[in-house]
Amino acid sequence: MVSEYALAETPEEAGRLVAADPDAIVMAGGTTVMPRAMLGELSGRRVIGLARAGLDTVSQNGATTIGATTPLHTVAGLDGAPLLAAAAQSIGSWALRTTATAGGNLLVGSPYGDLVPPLLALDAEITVAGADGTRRLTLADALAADSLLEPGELLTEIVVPAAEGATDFQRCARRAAGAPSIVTVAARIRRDGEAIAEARLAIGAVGPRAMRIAEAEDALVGSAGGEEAIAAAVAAASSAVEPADDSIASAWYRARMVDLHVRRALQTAAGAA
Amino acid sequence: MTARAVGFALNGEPVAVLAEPLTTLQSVLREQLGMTGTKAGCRQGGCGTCTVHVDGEPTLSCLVPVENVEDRAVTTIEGLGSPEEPSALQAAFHEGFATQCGFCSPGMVAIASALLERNPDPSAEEIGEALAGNVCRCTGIAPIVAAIEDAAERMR
Amino acid sequence: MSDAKPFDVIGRSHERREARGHATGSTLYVDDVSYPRMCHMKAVRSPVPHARIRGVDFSEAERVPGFVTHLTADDVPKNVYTILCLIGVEPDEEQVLASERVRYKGEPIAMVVAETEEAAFEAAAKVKLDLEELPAVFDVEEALAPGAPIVTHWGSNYFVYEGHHCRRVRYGDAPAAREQADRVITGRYQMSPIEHAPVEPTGCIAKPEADGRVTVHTNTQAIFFSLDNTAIILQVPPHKLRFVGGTVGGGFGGKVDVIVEPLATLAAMRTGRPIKYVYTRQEEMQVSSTRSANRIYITDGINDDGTIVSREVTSYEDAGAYSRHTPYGCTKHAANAAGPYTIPNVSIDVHCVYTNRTPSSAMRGFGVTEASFALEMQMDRIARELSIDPWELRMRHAYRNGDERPYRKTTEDATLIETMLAAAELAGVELSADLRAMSSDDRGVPA
Repeated sequence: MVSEYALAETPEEAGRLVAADPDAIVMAGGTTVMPRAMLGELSGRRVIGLARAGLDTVSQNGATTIGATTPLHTVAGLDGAPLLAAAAQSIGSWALRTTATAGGNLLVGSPYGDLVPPLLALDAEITVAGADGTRRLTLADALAADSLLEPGELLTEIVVPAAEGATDFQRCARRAAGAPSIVTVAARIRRDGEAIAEARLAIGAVGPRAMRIAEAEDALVGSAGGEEAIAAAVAAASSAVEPADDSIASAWYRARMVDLHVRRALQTAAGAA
Repeated sequence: MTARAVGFALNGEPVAVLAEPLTTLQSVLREQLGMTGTKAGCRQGGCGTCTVHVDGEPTLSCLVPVENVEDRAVTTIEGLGSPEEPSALQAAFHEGFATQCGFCSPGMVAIASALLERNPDPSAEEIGEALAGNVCRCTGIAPIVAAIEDAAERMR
Repeated sequence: MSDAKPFDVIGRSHERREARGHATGSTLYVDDVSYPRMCHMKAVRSPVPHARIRGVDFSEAERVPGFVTHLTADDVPKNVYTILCLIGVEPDEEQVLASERVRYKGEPIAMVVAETEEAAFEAAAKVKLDLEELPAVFDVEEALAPGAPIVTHWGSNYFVYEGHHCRRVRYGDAPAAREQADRVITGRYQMSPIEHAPVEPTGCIAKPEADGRVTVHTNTQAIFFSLDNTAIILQVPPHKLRFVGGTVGGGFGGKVDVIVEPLATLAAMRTGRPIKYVYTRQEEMQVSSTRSANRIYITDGINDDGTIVSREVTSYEDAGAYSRHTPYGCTKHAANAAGPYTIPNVSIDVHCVYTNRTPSSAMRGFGVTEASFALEMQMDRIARELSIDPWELRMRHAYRNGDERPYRKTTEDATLIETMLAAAELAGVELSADLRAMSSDDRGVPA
């Protein structure tokens, strides 16, 4: 049995508890921690709970600021962020989404974490609280580091700038719900007149981390987003990922699904941009 | 002593339990409060048999520490109807042969009940989406969808 | 006949009594039952697919607060689990708890009993296993190749059917007929093992009674079977056991293996306390038996007019580490492997192969469904290659009354043609007048 379940009552208390005990397990929605506790894997460990810490507020003022423990169900209902809402809605099931959190989804790791590609495509930033204060960095930079958080740090917010352009989210999984993704794709395309001025393409669930594909984005910028440019972007995405064999899908199948779903996402976003 | 007292409302009545840290709501309901209608099919959030309502929201009780529901309102299958007085939904399940082994049924009724409270006239697609987290290995799901449509009609 | 009563059950819809309890959550399943002073039992399982057991160390496990006792192979009075021993079917090769060797990942080596489920999980995790890993084999054809690691104790990786290395059916002269045929069409068909995945995990509670008997609540599909096998394993007279059950949260054939009751009953007898032993979802998915995976090769000799003159089937059924129901399943498979079709020359070899995988066992129509999968793919392949309508191909070859099956029984009460005609109508498929005129009593197929 765990040695203690300490529920923080404010964001500040949460930050203090986490900074003071880097070995503690930090639990938001509990969707990954609770099954481990049930199997007896967390015997003697201390758990810090964020369920009452007030980290679940959402504010929209140009940018959308999402508290780290905002339930996925709330994210799925957000106005003005259809890419993020679509991804949130595709995760798990209704009863899971009332418990699972946005921040938890960022920290759970591939092949889970279906919010990450959309957040990358939206140039999202995260706020992290640590012993020395808070820092703000882009999610892309955070993912480039060895780990998203240092021990003793707490993710408090996800900040999504007001995004322009058309977006599309694609997800491939063995079942329509409740199955880990084989590949997820988030695309955003903004035109300036006919030409594509800005393009974002992020892929998740394929490798150890979700990532933006800069070469694919470059292939689209400046083009009219027609068949040739899209084909070039798809080819670039294909080369950039290294699909692996695992119990969810074979590398052979994954590679084909990357191609198919990148194509669909780009065609849809380019068509609506 | 690491066990803590936790008080909450269960099917409209106040209850209090003593629970060790991180004991699931599911385990407290089933083992301390005699509410065995909520099932334990996987204990990892994947099957939906543990579905209850917390403050009216469908929730997987196997993933929630009981401390998290302090002072909140929990509704289990027992609070949604009884063999003597089944709800319209439960009657529709019974009469529509929407239950075979029955193990998924409480979870199905719980999620369907939450759906019909919000959407009194759901399409088959909306029903399917709502049921996506509830596994049934017996019926092939169609009789369950039909029973929910039938119940929705009775309730309108 | 004039004063015969009208039916009052047949032809009417009736209330299903259990459904009221199911829909209201008041039906009691095994895990819903609880007793005072009840203990929990969890298994210590092999983490590797093939190993020699050198030692089991309980010293750390025993120090877990709440630890009550443990069971090993030495504690089991008759440590042999042969599922069909009651009807004289061998071999005796699977142990209830492994003593010297484990042959699949997840095979149980010991049980721990504790006051709480959490303590039982912790104690089981702290049991130290000294295992010498052995080479393992996971593919049916590799398992039969020379030099393969041997899974069984009798020195080969196949079940012996009355002195033969496979179950065999021989009818006519298939190889010769194939040589004479206009063309040969072959296919290789591969299934995956299929897990029953009932929503309710396997489990039981064994409760010692004051009169010396033990009451066992179980979700087995085969309650008398489970009682008798438990009595044999525990070497007690059957009347000492009282099995309570019949409420099964999904079985599909996955709850006919007598897996949890013997050890729970033994623990109850040893401790004098009620013992609950319920699978976790992880155990239910990985350790419990599956439908066997088959690899099926079909070679058909076919004339240009579409007549199948010969069919040779070589099938490898993956029994996994132990026999369970698979040798019986292979016999059923052999009987059905040429399909519901009249073919004058048939040769069937069905190999029951042992590998270091989870033992396969019964699941809905086991032995037959695997054959259907391969056969119907093959029939479609033939139809495509010869540009024949797939309905016509099947209906021409479908068995009729009076036809002899490859295992030499005469077909009686055939309704295959009529069923296909009804299916076509329901599916809105237009069949030719010739096909619609067919029946199980005609002789539409040239011999």
